Amino acid sequence: MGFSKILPANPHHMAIVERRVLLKHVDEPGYVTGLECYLNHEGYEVLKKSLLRKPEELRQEVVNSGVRGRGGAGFPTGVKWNFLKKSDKPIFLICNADESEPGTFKDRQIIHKDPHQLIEGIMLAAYAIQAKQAFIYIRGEMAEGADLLESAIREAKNKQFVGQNICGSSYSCDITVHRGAGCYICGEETGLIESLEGKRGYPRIKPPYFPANLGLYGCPTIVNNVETLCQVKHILDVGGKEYAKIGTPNNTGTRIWCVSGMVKKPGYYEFPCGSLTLGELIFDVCGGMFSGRNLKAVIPGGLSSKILKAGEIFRGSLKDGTPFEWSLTDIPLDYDSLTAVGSMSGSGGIIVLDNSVDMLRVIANICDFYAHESCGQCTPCREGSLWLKKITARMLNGQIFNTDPDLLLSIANQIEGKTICAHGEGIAWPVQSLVSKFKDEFLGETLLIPQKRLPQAPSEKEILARL
Amino acid sequence: MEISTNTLQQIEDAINSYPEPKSALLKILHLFQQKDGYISQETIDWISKKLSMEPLNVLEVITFYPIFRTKPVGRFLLKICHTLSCELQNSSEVCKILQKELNCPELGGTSLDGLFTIEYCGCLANCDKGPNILLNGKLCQEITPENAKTFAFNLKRGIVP
Ligand SMILES: Cc1cc2nc3c(=O)[nH]c(=O)nc-3n(C[C@H](O)[C@H](O)[C@H](O)COP(=O)(O)O)c2cc1C
Ligand code: SF4
Ligand code: FES
Repeated sequence: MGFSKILPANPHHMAIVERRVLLKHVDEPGYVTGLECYLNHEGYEVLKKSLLRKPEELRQEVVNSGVRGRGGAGFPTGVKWNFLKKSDKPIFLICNADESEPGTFKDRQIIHKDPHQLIEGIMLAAYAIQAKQAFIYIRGEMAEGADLLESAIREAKNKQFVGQNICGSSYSCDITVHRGAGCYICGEETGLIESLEGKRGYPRIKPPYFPANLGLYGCPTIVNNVETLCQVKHILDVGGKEYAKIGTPNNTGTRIWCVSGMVKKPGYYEFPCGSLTLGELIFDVCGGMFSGRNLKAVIPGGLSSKILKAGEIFRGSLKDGTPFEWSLTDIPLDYDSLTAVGSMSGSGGIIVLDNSVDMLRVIANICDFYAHESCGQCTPCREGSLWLKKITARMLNGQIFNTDPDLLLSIANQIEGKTICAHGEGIAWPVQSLVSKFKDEFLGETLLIPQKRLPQAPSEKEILARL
Repeated sequence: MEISTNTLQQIEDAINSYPEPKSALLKILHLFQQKDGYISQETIDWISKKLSMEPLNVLEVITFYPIFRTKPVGRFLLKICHTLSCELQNSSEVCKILQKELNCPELGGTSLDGLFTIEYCGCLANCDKGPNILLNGKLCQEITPENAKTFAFNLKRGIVP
């Protein structure tokens, strides 16, 4: 579909079949969450063989694999691990199972349907970085998931896969499940650490509080997403170099894409990075649009990523200099391509919007979410998000001024880059992209309700008075 | 304040599962809230002594996290996901229907019979099967404007999906 491409998005254009590595047994009939079932499926074999190797060898495998974080920022995991410096302080590992980025539901599948895979991944990572103790920070809303993990850890402890002298080695490490309590911001790694210390989840200022340096209790700490830690198991199974053959250079391994919104078959789908395009995912894998509807836009990497509009042409060059020219549906699903088109792959949460969707409702909904979730530490984020929420709520009520888009943009621009944590960008990016791409719709020019448009723009003072 | 030996043991276990006792605060708050339905002033005082903290520092943590409450709620607490993917499936309409059927005119308020409290919440990480509702901590998916009435009807009879 779409345009002729300068760069083929999918060079091995073949029938689209999922390649399930992490989700291999998820949803398989008869596969249950108990330890016995996991052991019958070669469970903890990678842990056993890896404990015979030196931790630094394992870290090198992870570096060689090129695997990047699946939690949002896409930072190379091996590089992050090597930030740890030797000191007399203990090292901690935290598994980020907060999964709160709207549109994302991949970690839930692993926690609920294959918890031992995660536990094995955690123990492998813990051994590789020589952690004294590991934690799973799971969001407060996932009480069932927390119970499942607790009982899986108990089982694993009984069989010495967790706890003292793991698999008979000299290495010992426990896992503690820590439940959050309903704050999106506790997914941000330093907010998470504060919360784990029993405090309000206020993100910390970086520098100096890079977790690898000054993390939990001021000790060196590694925070990794659930999916990332599961990847570690598969890296150590096949070896880093072999793993790196999956996907494309700099975008290695498989990723779980979570598709929600206006498609026939929403769900979670695992593919090697870069092996299919956004269009193939939406139309071939997810069954396409509902009848009579057209694709309007896609939010590709969780709610905080910049929206991409159908009909846009994305031009530029990739990191290696190769030029590209893509329509929305041509964009390959991997880290670098989504960054190249000005958005990001983020948490892998893809929200699909069709032409029945009122973009004003979308922006108002997004602003409402982020205003509620701002922790309130930084003025630009706290006040800015509240303003964005109030203005978009007013617009949704039919009071729209033609100065509104500029006002929204100016607020968003004053938040971006001026805050302690990336929540600031989380609100600024969707607003900036929605306003610049759907401004006409907000102003009523293409909207179904023409009376929404006011003839004369009030002055900024008047607008402020009406807020 | 009466605390069962079982709960006391759970609290000790919680404290022992962390390198620093204060880390157990959230776990202990979850325990009390599960037991009592909310966190009372008495509980706050008890926890602050247990963890050698000021009561105010316990309270400031409670007020930061939306899950913790200092007031009782209805026997059934419904948290309706209001974030984009669920909202695209019309979760606010579902909310309106449930508010009407369960006699909860005010979000966050409790029905007169003390049975139901309805509030909005953020994405529940189940976006492909929205609209989603967390009912006393249990996830109920695909509660649409079409079946919301039946859901409410059953709930009033104590039937949970
Ligand atoms: C506002 C905000 C929310 C976040 N929420 C999550 C989350 O729910 N889960 C997650 O794994 N990472 C989340 N992150 C990213 C984490 O800060 C961190 O980068 C990640 O856990 C690192 O793991 P990775 O390297 O394996 O991706 C969030 C970041 C921000 C700024
Ligand atoms: S950017 Fe927002 S959420 Fe992040 S620390 Fe500042 S106020 Fe809190
Ligand atoms: S948006 Fe409702 S569960 Fe994610």
